[in-house]
Amino acid sequence: MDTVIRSAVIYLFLLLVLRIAGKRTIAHITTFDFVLLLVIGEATQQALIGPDHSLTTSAVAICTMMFLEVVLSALKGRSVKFSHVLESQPIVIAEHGQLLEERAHKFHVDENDVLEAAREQQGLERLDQVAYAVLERSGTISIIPKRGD
Amino acid sequence: MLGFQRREWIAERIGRVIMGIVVIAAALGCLGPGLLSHTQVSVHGVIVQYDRFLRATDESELVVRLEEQVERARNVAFDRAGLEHMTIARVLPEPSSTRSDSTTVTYAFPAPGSQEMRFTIKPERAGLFRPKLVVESRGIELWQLVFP
Repeated sequence: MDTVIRSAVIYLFLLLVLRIAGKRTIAHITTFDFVLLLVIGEATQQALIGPDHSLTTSAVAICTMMFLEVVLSALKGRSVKFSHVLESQPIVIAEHGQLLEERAHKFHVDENDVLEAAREQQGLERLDQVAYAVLERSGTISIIPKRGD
Repeated sequence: MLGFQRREWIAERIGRVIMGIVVIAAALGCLGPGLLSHTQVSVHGVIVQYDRFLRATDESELVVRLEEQVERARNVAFDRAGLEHMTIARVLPEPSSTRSDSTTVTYAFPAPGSQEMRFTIKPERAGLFRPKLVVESRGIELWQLVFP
């Protein structure tokens, strides 16, 4: 009982914290972010199972979180609104070679991030070669090049 | 190709149902201490409360309660075979003496005292066990399933 409640609370808390932190936080992992993730993992483990290191406790904690994941992904599939609440939605941050400054600023994305994605995905050199840059739900940037480029 | 995919979907669905059952069983206390795990046995004025389902590394409380006030010293004897799978970590109130022979370990509690005696037990291995105890010459058999 205790393990199920702890796992559910931790799952929902992490979901909330990562959602609040924004989609770009985890998509671009720096060395510090990586260390931070390890620390979060360690703190989560302590809160999840406490001093009880039995096999059953670990299995119950894993099953609870995976079950919540399955239930939430089923709910996301049924309701677009729910999906947006949990995972946000893709948003255009540059169109016709122009960075949409206000949006980009809100999502902590700058021109260099868009250019980096353009170079990596499409081999583009300049922003004016980009038709659309879309910040995806995962936090990555997708590039759609202008036709003919 | 699609035949394999169909079988995979069926397997996934069955797996998800099993996962749900595990979560519900754990929430209800079938995989460790909880609502369905906590039980009590009553034998002629002696009530023993304990957890049927335990986890190998977790402590649990076994409470022996006498329904009537007893003015003399009380004895709680554990069958030695039953103690092979668990250790008694703490006893409350403090027993006045502990005797041990080849078959039993007996805790004596001074009079007058509390009608309730609490034993914190710690399972040492997984399995199905049937610990026996004798309280005021009344034998009580319990059963406990310890998960790994």
